[in-house]
Amino acid sequence: MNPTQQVDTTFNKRAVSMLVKRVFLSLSLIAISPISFSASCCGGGASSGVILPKFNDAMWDISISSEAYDGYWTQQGQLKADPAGSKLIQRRLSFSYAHRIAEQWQMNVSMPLVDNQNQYSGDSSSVQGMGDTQAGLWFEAFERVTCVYKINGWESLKPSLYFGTTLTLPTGISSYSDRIDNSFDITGRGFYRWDANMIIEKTVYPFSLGWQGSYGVAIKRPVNQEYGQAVTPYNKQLGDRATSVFTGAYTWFLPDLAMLTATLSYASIKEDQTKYDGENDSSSGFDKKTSGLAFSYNSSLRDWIIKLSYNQAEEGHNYPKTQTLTMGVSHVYSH
Amino acid sequence: MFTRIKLTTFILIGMFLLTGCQEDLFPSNDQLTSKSEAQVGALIDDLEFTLSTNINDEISSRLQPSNIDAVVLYFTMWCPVCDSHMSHIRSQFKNQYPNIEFMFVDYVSGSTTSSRGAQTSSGYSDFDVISDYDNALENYFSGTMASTIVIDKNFIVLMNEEFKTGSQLASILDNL
Repeated sequence: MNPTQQVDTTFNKRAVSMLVKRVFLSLSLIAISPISFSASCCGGGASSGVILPKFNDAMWDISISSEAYDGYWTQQGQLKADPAGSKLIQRRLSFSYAHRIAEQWQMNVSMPLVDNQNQYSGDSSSVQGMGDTQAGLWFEAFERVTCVYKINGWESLKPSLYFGTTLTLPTGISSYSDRIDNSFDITGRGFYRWDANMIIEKTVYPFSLGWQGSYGVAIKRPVNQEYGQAVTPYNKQLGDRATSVFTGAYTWFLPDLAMLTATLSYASIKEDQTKYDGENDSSSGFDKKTSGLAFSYNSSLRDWIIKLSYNQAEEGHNYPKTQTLTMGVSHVYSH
Repeated sequence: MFTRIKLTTFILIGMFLLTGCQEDLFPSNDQLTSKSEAQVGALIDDLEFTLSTNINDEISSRLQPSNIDAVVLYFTMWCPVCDSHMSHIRSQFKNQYPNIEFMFVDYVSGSTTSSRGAQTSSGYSDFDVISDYDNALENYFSGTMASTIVIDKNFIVLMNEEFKTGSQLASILDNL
């Protein structure tokens, strides 16, 4: 008997599940990825690709990243290799827009497109789709730019301080969607999540130091199907997530008054265990630590920013080991 | 400036609508009807498979011993979550349920050699791994990462869902 003759299900679940894993990771990384001083510091735009500089009104940002997978850490922290012959790459094209809504308030929106290229020893797949959308609201807890060239008393030590909140909308197609039974469209994690964020940074030219932290809570949701298959309905809630990113940067002033900034970063992310109908899933939850190096070029008019960064996962638990290369360009507008 | 904002807003709204995001924006707990032929309660055929050791086998031979009440298939792609589940199955379920045949299904490697390599490098050489190189079991059960299938002595599917916490699997095995 040949089991394959008994069903008409022709789609390849392998790519779907891999995509879920990828999107899960990419969305995790979105929360901790903006680690490049965009050289527009002086009270704004320093730590995030979609945070407006202090006296600008709007900004758009387009970035493309490529993330390669190179094994994974088990729950005990042991590094294991991916199956021989496998090559797993995810590319993301993100569109972001930030807009000033008041003197000390700004909002932003970010939408990623996801492209997964999976190659195993026995098969390969190519998957493209929209990811989950993020919308943010930020308050700048300072009224004047805080970058200084020289420390002159306590006042000059005042840092830039931002408080923000981010809502993740499940606009991608998740494993709980009913439209994945004949396509490879899974592109989102399927959960609303609410994050509280904080950024603190200080620049005394040519040096900058910064920290960005966030704490996010996923909203519990009902699930009645997995990968297009009906299941007994249950409630699922992803674990709370905490991220922390430390950055240090050095800025060179170029002859045309443009700026080139190099940034070193060290980021950690931790997500608690998932709950099914209130019961903790001991096999879930993860943590990862990542180091990164980024360069950004800010034009002499400070209206164009070009960014390049490389991030390398250093250690973790229950998480893949990845390397990510990101390139981006931002344009800033003023009155 | 205003035109620029309008254009950007239009683009963002357009992209948002193009995502077709309705299901996850408004999730439901309504009971749905399964589309899988190997759904819970279905009578399945005596499926053949190949172990990573290149040995051909079938469900019936696994269920044949009088002390065996069911076969459990766990679909793995050798990922972190899979590793957690497999470790849990090996260290707890295997000992707790000696009357159950547990097997892992490698549905991502294209050959028994590759399956064996992944099995060894992942530290599961002591476990039976099915090399589903032709995707036969994957297609039959609509299996994917962490899919867990329970088949009883009468070839009835008792479970075909994600592993989750393992409590559902334990509950089903307790009732055998």
